[in-house]
Amino acid sequence: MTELLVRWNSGDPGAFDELLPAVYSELLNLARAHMMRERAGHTLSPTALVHEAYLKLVDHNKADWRCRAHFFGAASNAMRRVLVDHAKKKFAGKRGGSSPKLAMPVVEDLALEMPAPPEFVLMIDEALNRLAGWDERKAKVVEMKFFGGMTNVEIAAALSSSHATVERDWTMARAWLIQALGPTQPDDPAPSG
Amino acid sequence: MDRDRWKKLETVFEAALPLAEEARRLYLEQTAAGDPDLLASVLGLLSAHEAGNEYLDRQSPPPPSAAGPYRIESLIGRGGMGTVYLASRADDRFERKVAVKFLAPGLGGVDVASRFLREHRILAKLEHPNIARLLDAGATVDGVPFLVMEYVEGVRLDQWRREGRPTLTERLTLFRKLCDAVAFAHRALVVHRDIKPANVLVTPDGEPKLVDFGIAKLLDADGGELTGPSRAAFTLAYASPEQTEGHPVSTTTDVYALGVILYELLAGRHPVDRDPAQPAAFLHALANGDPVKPSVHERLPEDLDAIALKALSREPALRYQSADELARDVARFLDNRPVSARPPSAFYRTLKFVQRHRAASAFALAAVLSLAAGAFAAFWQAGQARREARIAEETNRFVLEMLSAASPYSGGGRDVTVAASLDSAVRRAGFELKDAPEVHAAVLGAAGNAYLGLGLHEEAEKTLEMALGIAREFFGAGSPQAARHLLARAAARQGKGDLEGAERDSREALTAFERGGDPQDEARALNSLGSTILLRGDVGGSERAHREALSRLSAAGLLESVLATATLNDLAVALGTAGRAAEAIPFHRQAYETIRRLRPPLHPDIANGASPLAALLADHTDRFDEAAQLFREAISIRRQALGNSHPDLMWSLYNYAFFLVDRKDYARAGELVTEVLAQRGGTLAAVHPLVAASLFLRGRIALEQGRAAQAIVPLEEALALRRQTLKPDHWLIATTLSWLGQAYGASGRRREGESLLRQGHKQLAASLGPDHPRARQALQRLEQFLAH
Repeated sequence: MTELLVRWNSGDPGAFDELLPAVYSELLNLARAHMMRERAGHTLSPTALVHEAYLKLVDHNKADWRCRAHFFGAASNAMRRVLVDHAKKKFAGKRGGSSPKLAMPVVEDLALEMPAPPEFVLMIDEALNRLAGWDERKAKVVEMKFFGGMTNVEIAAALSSSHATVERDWTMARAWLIQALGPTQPDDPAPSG
Repeated sequence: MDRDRWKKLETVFEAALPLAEEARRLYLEQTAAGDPDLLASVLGLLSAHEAGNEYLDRQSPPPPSAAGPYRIESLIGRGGMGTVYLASRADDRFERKVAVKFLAPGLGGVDVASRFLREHRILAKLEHPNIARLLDAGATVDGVPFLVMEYVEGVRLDQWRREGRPTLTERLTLFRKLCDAVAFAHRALVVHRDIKPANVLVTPDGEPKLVDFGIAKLLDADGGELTGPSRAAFTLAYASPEQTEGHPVSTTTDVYALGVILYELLAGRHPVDRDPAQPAAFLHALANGDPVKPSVHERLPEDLDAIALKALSREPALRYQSADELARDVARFLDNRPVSARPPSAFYRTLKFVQRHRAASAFALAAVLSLAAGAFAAFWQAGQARREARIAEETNRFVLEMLSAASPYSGGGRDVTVAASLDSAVRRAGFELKDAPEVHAAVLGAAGNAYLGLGLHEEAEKTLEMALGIAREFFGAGSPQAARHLLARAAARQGKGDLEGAERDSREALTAFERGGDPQDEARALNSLGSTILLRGDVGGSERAHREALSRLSAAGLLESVLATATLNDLAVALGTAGRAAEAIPFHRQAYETIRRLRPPLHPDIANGASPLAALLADHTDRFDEAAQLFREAISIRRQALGNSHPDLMWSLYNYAFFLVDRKDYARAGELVTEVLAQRGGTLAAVHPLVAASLFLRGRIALEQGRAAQAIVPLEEALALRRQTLKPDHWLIATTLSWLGQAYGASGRRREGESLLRQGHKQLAASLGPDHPRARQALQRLEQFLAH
């Protein structure tokens, strides 16, 4: 894992493709492992999970801060896939049932706290796919921030850009997303499908 | 949307955003005058920006910049329990690095506050060099609770093992400290419950530090179980079976986690050969399979297998019952002592004994040999070493193994296990040493002496007979080598009461030595002869034999030798037996003073010399101070050289206690008796004569102090034990009866008392004669009773 990060860091684009599946499965494994905690009412936020994956997968002595940022970038993407996959399942399961108040649901077979109700996760995912069509960097920033729980400083390092740029990217992308997603408010009922 | 359009939108949005309402309106009118779509889009974005969204906006609040007086510097790590930052105390004149832990946002739910309170309270109690200390606790201005902990600069335990490549001893020493820290916490009624490598940091000095008592809970005040299965988190890979099954946890839960850590330290892998990320498979393996021995993965001594697997027992009751107990076993292993995790077998005990002394000095080796079976063993070693080093060395190995098997720890009576191990050693020697008859004979000789030490005279004679046969064939019938076995057989025959045979053997050996041995051999043969004919009643002959031994040693310039001191003691015993105590004392004293010159301070031989002299002085002179000093010296030496539980020490304590009772120092005597009786069932078998004797003395002390009611139980116990182990007409039983009678009488049970007093006196008179002091004292007790 560390090797891949170092290679990726030094400009080997193939490394990212190798990195992603590993991180994805590690996130799933960690989330499943935390099932044991979940039974005791203990769940993990995506942020915590990504950090745990990092602490577990990466040799801290060989990886410098840029490696770390790149890992988090990759992990955010993997996390997005994990959350979207499970939001889909969750959403499917919910159809036809009564619509509960959408607080912070827990994905049932993972000790993973969803950053948002499944419907919202799916909408964000879809919107980000569109956004990436004309502004890949902003989509990436949202992915890292929303799915990976990264801070702006971490995102700046991962994208090799400045902190101010990331701030601006986020502000713009956030506004666009809110507009694109429509007037969904926390207490609104879920769109029925 | 096309990119150019998006760029344009972005530019306008960003320009408008910081502007106040009026300025924004003016700016937008100017910029988007001819583009209503753009204007609509920007206005939409601006209003969306204002509106916000709960989910998008709850992401990643920036880490607090300060926690109370602590300035946050950088992230150390995040885990299930919280986020930990490196921080320093901002308002301090000298900078102090600390670790500040915030709970991860969205974690914990309603019990965050109480969990923190609990952690604070518990951690404050835990001041230990191997536990990261809690320094402070508080909340940020935003109300986020945090803990401030000692910052530990170090690597995780698993990383330390992998990269630091510590030796086995280093790993175990560190592990022991870890156990001590956990035991310390347990004594403060705190169970960690989440011990894992991530919670153990190793500092650059190699010191382990246990961090994160996040899920520790207070034990119930009664030290019993915890408050049921808890809601708190644990880590699956280090969770005990009872934790994963939701059963109550206790201190043995931590013992289990320590077991996992020990296993990983030893084998470099987890005991359960399943990925904890696949919980179902992991739990199944945890619940159904025993871990394979760590030595399967890495070359390790069996003891460590036993320790690790005991700590990992699925059944909490089968584990070490405390971290202390686990620490002690690791310490025992490091000291080459038998570990409690191994099933006790004589051979195993022997093995540890040999390992322990492998690196020891010649002094220690000699001490061990003389301890185990008396001077005879040293004689073997010395005799063989002069002739051929190889024989000596190989014999030594066997001798050590077997003599230690027949160690004094076996207590009184026939120790079946030890005897069985000797039997098998003899068989093994016959098998392995067929091609080395000289070693075979020596080994059989040593085994014979070990049987002697156990009082198994038949076996000793038989084994020595074989040794003798081999030695005669290999070295010649009249050879000194064969003669040594003759001497040993003499001791065996003496022991089983064949005094005639013993005398014959001794004389034959003497003749052989006079032809081809040396003065020391001759002296030994003379001593053997002297002690045998003493038993046959020939006191004069015995005295002459020992004096002859002494003069031959003297002629060879060997008066300053251990053998000479043994001879002096034998001579003193002969004189004492003849009722010439006054003459005996100078010889005992000379022996004692010689051995003090020959042996380094604290050598057990010095205690062996001090003991009989002390007894003789106490019984036959009024030099009580000197006697007391010698008793105390023997006790002190044996305590330091042999440990606090060795039977030899128990004998010294008892003898001194007996002396003190005569001196009417009952309080001190009582303490000594209590110390002896603490070994009951331990190094002293329940039927060991010292147990009955000490109980008897305890009863006597109570009687002397006027606590007759408290004398009854120990005296009854002593009586029962003596009836169990002695012939029914033994005088010790009679004495016990007499004293018990007095105790009954003094506590109002006059009829029983009188009956026992009469019975005791009658039996004493019958076995020792009516004029024997003990019989007379018994009569005195009876008369005193009748007079009241």
